[in-house]
Amino acid sequence: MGAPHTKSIGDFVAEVVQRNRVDRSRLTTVLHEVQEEYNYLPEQALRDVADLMGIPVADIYGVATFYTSFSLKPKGKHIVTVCTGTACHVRNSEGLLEKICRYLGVRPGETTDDMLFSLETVNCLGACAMSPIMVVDGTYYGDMNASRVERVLEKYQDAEVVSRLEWSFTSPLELSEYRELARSTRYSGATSISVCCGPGCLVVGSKNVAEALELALQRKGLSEKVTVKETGCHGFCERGPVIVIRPENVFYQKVTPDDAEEIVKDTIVAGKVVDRLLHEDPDTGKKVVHENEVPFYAKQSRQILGPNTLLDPYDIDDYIANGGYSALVKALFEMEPEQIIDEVESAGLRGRGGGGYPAASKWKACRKARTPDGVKYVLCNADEGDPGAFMDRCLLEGNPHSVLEGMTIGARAIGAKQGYVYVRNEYPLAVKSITNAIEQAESKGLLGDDILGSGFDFQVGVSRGGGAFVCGESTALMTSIEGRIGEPREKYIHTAVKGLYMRPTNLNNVETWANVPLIINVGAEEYARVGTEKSKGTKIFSLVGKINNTGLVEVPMGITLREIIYEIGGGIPGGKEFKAVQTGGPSGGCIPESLLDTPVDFDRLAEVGSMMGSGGMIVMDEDTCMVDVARYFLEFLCDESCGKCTPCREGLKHMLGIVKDVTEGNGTMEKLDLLEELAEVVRDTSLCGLGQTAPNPVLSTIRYFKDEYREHIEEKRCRAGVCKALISYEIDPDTCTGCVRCIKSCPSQAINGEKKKPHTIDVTKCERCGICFEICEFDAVVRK
Amino acid sequence: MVRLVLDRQHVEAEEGWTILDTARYYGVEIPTLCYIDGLSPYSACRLCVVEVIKGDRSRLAASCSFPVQEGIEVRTDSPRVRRSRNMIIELMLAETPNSKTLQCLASKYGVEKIRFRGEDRHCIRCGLCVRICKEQMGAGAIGFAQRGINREVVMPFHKTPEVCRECGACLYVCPVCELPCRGPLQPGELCNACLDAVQLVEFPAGD
Repeated sequence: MGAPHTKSIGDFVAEVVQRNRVDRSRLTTVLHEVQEEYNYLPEQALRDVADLMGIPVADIYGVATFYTSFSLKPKGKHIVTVCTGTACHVRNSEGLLEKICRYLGVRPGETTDDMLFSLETVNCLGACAMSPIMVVDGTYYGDMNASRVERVLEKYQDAEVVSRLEWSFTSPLELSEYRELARSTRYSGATSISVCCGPGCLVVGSKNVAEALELALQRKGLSEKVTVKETGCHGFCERGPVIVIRPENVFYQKVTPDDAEEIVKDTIVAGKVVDRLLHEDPDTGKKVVHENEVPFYAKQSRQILGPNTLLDPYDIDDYIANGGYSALVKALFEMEPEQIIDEVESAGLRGRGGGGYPAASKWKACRKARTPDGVKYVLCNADEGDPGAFMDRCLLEGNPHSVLEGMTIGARAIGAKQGYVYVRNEYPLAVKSITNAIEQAESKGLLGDDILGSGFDFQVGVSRGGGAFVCGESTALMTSIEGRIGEPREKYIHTAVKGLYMRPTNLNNVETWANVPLIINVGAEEYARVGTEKSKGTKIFSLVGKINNTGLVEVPMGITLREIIYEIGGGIPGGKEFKAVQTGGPSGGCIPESLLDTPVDFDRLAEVGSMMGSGGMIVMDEDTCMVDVARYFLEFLCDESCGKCTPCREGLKHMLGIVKDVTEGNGTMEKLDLLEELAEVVRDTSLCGLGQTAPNPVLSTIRYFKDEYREHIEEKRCRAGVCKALISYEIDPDTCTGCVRCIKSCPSQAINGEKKKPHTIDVTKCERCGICFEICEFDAVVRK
Repeated sequence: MVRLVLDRQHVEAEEGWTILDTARYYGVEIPTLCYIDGLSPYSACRLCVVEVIKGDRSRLAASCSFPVQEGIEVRTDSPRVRRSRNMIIELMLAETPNSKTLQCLASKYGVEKIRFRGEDRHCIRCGLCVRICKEQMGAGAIGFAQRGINREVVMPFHKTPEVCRECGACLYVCPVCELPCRGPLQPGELCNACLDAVQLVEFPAGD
């Protein structure tokens, strides 16, 4: 970005368009590439793209303005992004944003006059464990608070990727010989250190830990014998950076680069554990040495996520050595396509993207569907848009080949030769990882023409999204791949019959695809042992918000929410009281304490007014206002609705208006009835799933927390102290020590006072952001 | 032929017909706004929703694009349809009080009050202009830009493109280009001029 331009815009655009084969399905990629060069989309460039690709300018303009990733105005040298996802929201990202706005003197979407900083917001970065998050030029700053803003706005760097390729297989035999070879070099008891480089650990510097370990090994002359692996997410984000030393499975938490020397000296060389880096069981107070003994992991069933801790995601050999692509061999050489579908059907696999539709039914319909030219598509939905969910990101980043293998098996079952992985643009590492995996699999003959000599061809392309939540909806995703505005269309004719380019298309999400190789490997019967009657297998959740052990957890279906939150999650921090757990993102609902014994199961969660969703699980405590949560989701949805159909576009706008009135103390009980009436119509008449489920957060909060609405309306009171119009801050002169910390942090200069003398808040200037309340170490700031 | 039940009548429809085609063939009225003959259905305004009952499942569907299926039952005027239709009219009028088409629909279907705060946006984003420009005039001079509540119909970069022949087709199909009978109205106001006229006819009876 920002490199000096040696070519004219016309030449550069021509080159980009040629490189993308003048293919409209690569339009968003073309626009991304142009924007990466110029850091925005110049009008001339868009006109040139239109000319060269033969698309009306009006269409290109529509696409460029629809997706938030694109900018038609030049951007600053540095991009500051604040995540406003649900997990960040419940940890006061709004206050953080306000502070940054004041500091930079711009609002979100604007650029400073000196063209140095552009400020942006994003609806979720999938690094929820470290919320609230600020990103500067791709570098994540987690657990941000307003007082750190000034210090942080200075440093940035980027990560690198390497790929290696040399062998191409033409038969299953060659693959299995290679597997033995790869295994012998990797798993014959040799020592390795897995450093978690998932989103949570990256934020707290796991990359530096990996480098320090490499260096320490070099100094001891051990770099040949011991490998340091930068793996995908292990799950225990709360304790990051985490590392595991194999083959002993020694687990260390909160490792810093300074610990590297000691780890190498004591653990690797002398075989002793470093006591202070061990995890302590919070119940017994005992130190735990091995990964599998950590209570956080012990209750889980990590059949999909587990390999993340073993694999270098950029090394296909690791995947192969660990048994990878053996399910593909079975599916290609030992099974007929119908058998594959039968196996998936008896395994009871249901879509992990949220709806829980039986995967085999889709596959069957798509296999049966007739197509004029024999073309069918298999798609992977990696547009994980639910704020607070990041399991798909972690699978793609940590174990991309499992997803590719699943897709290839699915393609064989359905009879498709072309696939696409549609990845959110907010996940650049996932794009890198899956692109690299595709290249490696192709070069090894595991993807492409005549896979393993079976005569079966399957190509996979990567399609980058553009920052539009609605593109996670199947038909919107397909129009987006076609290079159009990502707006949904009616599904009265199923996409299995007429989908991408009006051809039969099968779409499953990342986690669903990752389950497929497992089913083929262990068999349907074994797979279906885990789970409930109608929900089989495991589900990965991202457990975030007001919870002790934030992170990714994989649990067997049927486990109760209470077990997840209290036994795995370790309960609510700070002795606060649990209020609700939000599942299913903006399509889901808030589940109260009284329903915590609900088992995790597609149908049971729907019964209580929420849904499984893609797996975000945001825990809320007594400091979370449920009316504010409803407002938050409505704002999110108004922003992310494509705007095509009336109920979703207009209905959500007015729903937000009514809820906003309530949070500002201007609501009435009659309007609350209107809100419910409108919500029913939006649910009933909206065109796509986004609109049809959009009222869920509102309806579920009204259903379970009507008292809070009533308090806001009748008593003008927000019991959680969140709704700004209904609260005020004061400083208790007896407790205030006069440390001036609040004076320095206040974004609106509303606090007056001198050092060592009690401060006062000027209520006319105070914007009630709560920053002073949060940072005061003496509890002198009082909220009323 | 496909057999179905339309407002309690057993009817037959051609394979490939939509519910709207079928209803019009049998003279059953379904109001539409973003659908006109000759342009591809867009299913965006949702005014044409009808209740489709299949076995023990019932749903609302846009009749302009729902292809008839054997054995379904369609209700074009059930309480659920009426409630939704009236809410849609109310929502659209909140943003375009000065559309005669919409004000007439409100009078006809008995929308009595606008309960939402609106602002006059002069556009319901039905996309008829965009489609006629592209599909019938072959120009593609205008299109949708932005998204969500900010979605708008624009010329690219807000400049008149060369491909625009100023043919006026977009104005011709626009349902909000004609003022209601009572002249310019403010958001929240209903015209209902025709309803008043009915009362005038009844007036002499008491004298």
